[in-house]
Amino acid sequence: MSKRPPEDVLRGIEESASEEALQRVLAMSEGERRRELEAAGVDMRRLRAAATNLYEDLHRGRPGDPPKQRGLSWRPPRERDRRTRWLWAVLAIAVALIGLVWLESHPAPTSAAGPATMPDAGIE
Amino acid sequence: MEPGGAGPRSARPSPTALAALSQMDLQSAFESAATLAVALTGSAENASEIATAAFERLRTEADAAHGQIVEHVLAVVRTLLRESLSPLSGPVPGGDGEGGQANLDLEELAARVAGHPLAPAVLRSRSEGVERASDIAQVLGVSVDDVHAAHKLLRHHLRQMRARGDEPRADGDPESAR
Repeated sequence: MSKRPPEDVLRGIEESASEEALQRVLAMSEGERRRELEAAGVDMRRLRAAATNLYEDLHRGRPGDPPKQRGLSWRPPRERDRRTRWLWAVLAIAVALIGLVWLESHPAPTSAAGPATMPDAGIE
Repeated sequence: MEPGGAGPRSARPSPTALAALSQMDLQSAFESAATLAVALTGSAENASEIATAAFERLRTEADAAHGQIVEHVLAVVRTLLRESLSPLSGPVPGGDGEGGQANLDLEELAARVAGHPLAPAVLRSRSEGVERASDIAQVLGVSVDDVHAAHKLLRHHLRQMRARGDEPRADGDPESAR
């Protein structure tokens, strides 16, 4: 005769309390909710902090990820140091190459008597 | 939304829907989750952790981005508590797959509330597949509060029946510990 199996009917009755609580919370205004939380002794500062953390997590990515999506160019320090060393090395090589090119294009002046042999000067 | 779960999968909010909430809306939904946690556990102690756990579960869902987030997160709180620490999570008399026993339990429950002006009709409605208090109230032409009162009576008797059923086996059943 029953459309629902008796097990389901019994379970539904057991769970009706939580369903009613859910509907009651949904119908509450923000003020009512806060009053109920405070009356129950909930630490509202802790609750707000947890909500703030959740909000930040949702905007940062998954928990545990570095905060690379916050709009900042944050990178782990080791990686940053490695990048800095490479940059200096590339700069040093570039300066050396520029120097060599400049020397090639500006040869040292030579005298009519031939190349100066400073180390040999005065040694006979 | 399914009354007993986190709602149909297709209607669950996605992580992006959660991320699209303003901080104030998220705060409000979080407080709702904590309020339900307090209501179901009767304790303020873990309200914040339960609310956080509900949102963590919700954010792992990757389904379509629509649906009422507050309703979903409350349904998840309910499910989490049912799974872990709610007194509602235990076995129901006759709910162990033995349809015959369940029938007997249902008959006993009906007999126990026979003198109540509304509980027998509520039980009948639930047996016929009408489950939400507001729907039962509409079908029976009574207020939702009256249906809640009838539910309360039915739960009371069911709890008594369950306690009686638990008596012989003092085997550390977590349900009987609460």
